[in-house]
Amino acid sequence: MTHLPDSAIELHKVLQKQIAKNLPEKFWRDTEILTFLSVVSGYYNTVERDKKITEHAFAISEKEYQAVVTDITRKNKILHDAMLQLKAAIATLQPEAASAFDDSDEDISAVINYLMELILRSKELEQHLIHAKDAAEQASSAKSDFLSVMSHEIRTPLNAIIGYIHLLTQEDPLPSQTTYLNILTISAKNLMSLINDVLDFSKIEEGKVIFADSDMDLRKLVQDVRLANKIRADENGDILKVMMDEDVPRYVKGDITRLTQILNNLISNAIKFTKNGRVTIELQLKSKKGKYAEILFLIKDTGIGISKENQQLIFERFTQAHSYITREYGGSGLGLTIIRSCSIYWRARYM
Amino acid sequence: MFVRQQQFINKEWTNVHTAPGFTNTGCSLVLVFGSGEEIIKPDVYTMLKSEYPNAEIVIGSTAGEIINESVYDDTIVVTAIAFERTGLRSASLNMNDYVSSYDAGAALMKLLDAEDLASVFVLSDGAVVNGSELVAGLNDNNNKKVTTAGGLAGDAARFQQTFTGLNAIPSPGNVVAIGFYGAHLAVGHGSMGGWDEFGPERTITKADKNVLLELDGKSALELYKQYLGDYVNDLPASALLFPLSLKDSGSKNVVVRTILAINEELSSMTFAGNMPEGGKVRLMKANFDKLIDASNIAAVGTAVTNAVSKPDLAILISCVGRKLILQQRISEEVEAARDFFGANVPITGFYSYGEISPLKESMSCELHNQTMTILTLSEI
Repeated sequence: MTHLPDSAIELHKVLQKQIAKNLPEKFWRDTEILTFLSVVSGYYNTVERDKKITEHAFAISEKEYQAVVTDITRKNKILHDAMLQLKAAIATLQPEAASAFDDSDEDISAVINYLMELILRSKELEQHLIHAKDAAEQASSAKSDFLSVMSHEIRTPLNAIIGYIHLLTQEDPLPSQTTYLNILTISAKNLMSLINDVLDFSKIEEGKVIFADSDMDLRKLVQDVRLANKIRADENGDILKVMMDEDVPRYVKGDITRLTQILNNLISNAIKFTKNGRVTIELQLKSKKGKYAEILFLIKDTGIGISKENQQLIFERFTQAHSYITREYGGSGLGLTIIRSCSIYWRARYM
Repeated sequence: MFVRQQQFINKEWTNVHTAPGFTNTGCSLVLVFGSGEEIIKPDVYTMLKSEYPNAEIVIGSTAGEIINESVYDDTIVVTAIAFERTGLRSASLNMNDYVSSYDAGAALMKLLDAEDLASVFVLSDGAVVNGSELVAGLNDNNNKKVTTAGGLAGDAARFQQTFTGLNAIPSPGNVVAIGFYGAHLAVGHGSMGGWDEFGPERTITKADKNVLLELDGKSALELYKQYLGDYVNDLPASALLFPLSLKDSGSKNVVVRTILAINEELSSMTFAGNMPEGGKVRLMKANFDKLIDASNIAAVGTAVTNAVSKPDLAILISCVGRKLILQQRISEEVEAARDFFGANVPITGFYSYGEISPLKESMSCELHNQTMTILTLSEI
């Protein structure tokens, strides 16, 4: 076979073969034909480059495709395992539900529906509980309303009774009558104070009480409380003492009426349950931050005390440490409830 | 509108075509595209200035010149235009006087803004200017939403220094813009790459302007090299064959981004346009026949945008990357455009370092890489 001329050596290999096979040798050295052939060869070259690039891109795509397939297979496996776990968990918690699903992982929607139903049911239950709670609160508020209305209604005739007892004592009664009238006066006043407590309590429960923020003299306030309770302490044979630390600020802002009420309540309680003993009112400064002072009011007595298990109970309304207390000591069981409600407003604590 | 075409080839000026009715004194705009080495010779500007005393002379260096059906290297192509019913205003500034390419774009647009502004042609430095920022500056100040198109000057395949100038001997760092005014100019634009996207879509997770660092939280360069396979030995030249497609987050439009340089030490890749974080990229590959077809599609696009299929002038701005890839077949893409315009439409243009054009009708312009971008002018 004759060799192509040197000028054709640059041509594309495929083209060289085609020339050798199909182009008569007489044209091999024709410059015009060779120029044409070099253009064709250039095209062969670009087509070949194009093919290489396309093959390369295909190889990359294939690699990416395989990576994606592997990833999907791996995720499917995780999904499958998770489904089995989920079904096992359901079967353990609710054996009767397990029969609803088969062993394949294709009934995912059945599992989802089942779980959705469970959630819906628990939501429904939650709604029922909320309604029940609302109803209970409404009933409780209705009870307070009733108490408050009734107290008002009882107070009016009671005022008349107290008034007429007073008028009767002015009319020179017989000594025996004086004794009866005194008993009547004490009983009526006890009844009045009981009704006042009920009124006070229902007001606080309904949030109708507004706390004042006025200037007060703490030293004077505790002395007043001491004086007010002194007679009853004397009657019980109790010593009533006030101790106020030097660093307790004397002038503070607050609600005098309520604070007096709370202290009176606690001290009269202490006196009530203490015979021939000692009741101490102690004021200590706990901390001071800027214009806020935390003051500890300590009411100590040597009385009968309250057992540990009953300490939680005493702040509940209409509750006393023991039912025999009412018989022996009297009281409505509202006193401590009222002071607790007041104190929540001040963020105070009882210890 | 009358056009005269000249070429400086083999050290001589030749007259390629002169439309009847064209006069040198009536000429108001001269577009000069040529090799950097030739156009910075003072004689060139002096000759053109004396020949066209009343014209704005816009000069830019190239990575190849286009005139009619042919592509040349180391020549100068001149297109002298005499408008009959269209006004002109020119503006030029140098990057030394501006903090950012964005500011330069904004300043140019403000200089040209007027009630009857119809279109803007931009010829920018292609080495120191950030094309993406320049385009953003132009767009944000394009109050009349006029078609803005053009390109970044080239420096053969050297990627070092480009030269541009307005009514002066060209020098580095200049951005030149021409504003066209009045209701009688129809401007068409078309832009097409013809690249095939392939492989999975990835998200840009770390980048600084046109420097890409991470895709999906991994080193972008490592990933890219894995893709290149055997072609990795031919980096950075082989990067031209595999550019990236970029879809800005929230945008549907895809632009092509060419890799200009890679830095092994920093594991970074520098692109011929910004790579915003959150943007989606895919690998692209060259398909020679599609690249050539794209040129025809771009030409068709010009007629879609202005309904003129035989314009008075077609300006072709194609990417240097296409020229490096298509090699001896490069003139085929110019022929593909010629096929659409027919034999009589004067064609000029150059190979650039970035094309500027809207992607579709009545959209703000974008910076492209690796496209054939065509701008047509007709007076109506």
